[in-house]
Amino acid sequence: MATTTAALTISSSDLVGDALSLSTSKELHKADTTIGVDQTTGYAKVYLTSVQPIDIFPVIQENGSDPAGGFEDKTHWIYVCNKSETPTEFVTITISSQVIGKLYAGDWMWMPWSQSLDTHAGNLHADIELTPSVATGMFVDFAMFHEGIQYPDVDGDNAA
Amino acid sequence: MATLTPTLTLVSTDATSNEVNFSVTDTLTVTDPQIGLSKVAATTVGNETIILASHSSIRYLYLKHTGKDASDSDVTSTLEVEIENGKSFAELGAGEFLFVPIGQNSGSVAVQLEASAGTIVAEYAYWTKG
Repeated sequence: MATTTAALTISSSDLVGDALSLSTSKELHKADTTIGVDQTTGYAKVYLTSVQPIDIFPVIQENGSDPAGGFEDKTHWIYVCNKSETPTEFVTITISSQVIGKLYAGDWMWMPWSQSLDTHAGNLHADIELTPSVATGMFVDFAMFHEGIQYPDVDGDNAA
Repeated sequence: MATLTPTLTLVSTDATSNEVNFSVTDTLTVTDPQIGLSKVAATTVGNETIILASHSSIRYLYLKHTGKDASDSDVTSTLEVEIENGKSFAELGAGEFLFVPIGQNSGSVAVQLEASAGTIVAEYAYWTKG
């Protein structure tokens, strides 16, 4: 069983009168178990040169008609970091067409990825998109730890 | 203005054949409004627990499922993180946490919490991008 641990610390010496220091950690488990997640996309780095929205992770599939599908209740954890060094440059994070927020230069996010909203045809259960604010080039790092995803088939509909 | 320093570390010796061990730190300039570490008992009705009202700025949100209910009993139910009723974008299990920049979608992004059953005590804090 694989053991992957995520730890977060948040600190500040000047935010409030007393120094702020918050820390927490958690092993990443498969849904409703204490078994560690055993799959990952690996740590990836891309150079984006368009302001068009892109998918950096395969979508989570509902059961649909594909016997291999049905990943909507499984555990997925994502990390995304905007590596730009220009403070005004950002990437907009969207999940199933819902804007969640923006990562400015150097900012990163860590969150579980799952949702019940289905706004797509073809039983595409959830879909994370990144939209760079500039087309002049921006590095983005990302990784996902998970217990199951389905990569798109050649025609993109993932039908059996 | 103040400086906030979040650090994420991911470690695994056996998830892949090569060891996973990376850490990322950001230096955030933050300003008001901010909410220090707070606790709330979420119910099964999302809009009863709005932890972040609609806003037009970026708010750095820390949120954790404590694994406890309002009676301090252990729970395994999941905590839905929603931007409005029925629109969940994340689901936290007991002990799990997230750190995400939220907002700047024409001021329409809020965050509310919904327990899948009973109540769930969540810890949260947020800071506004300066």
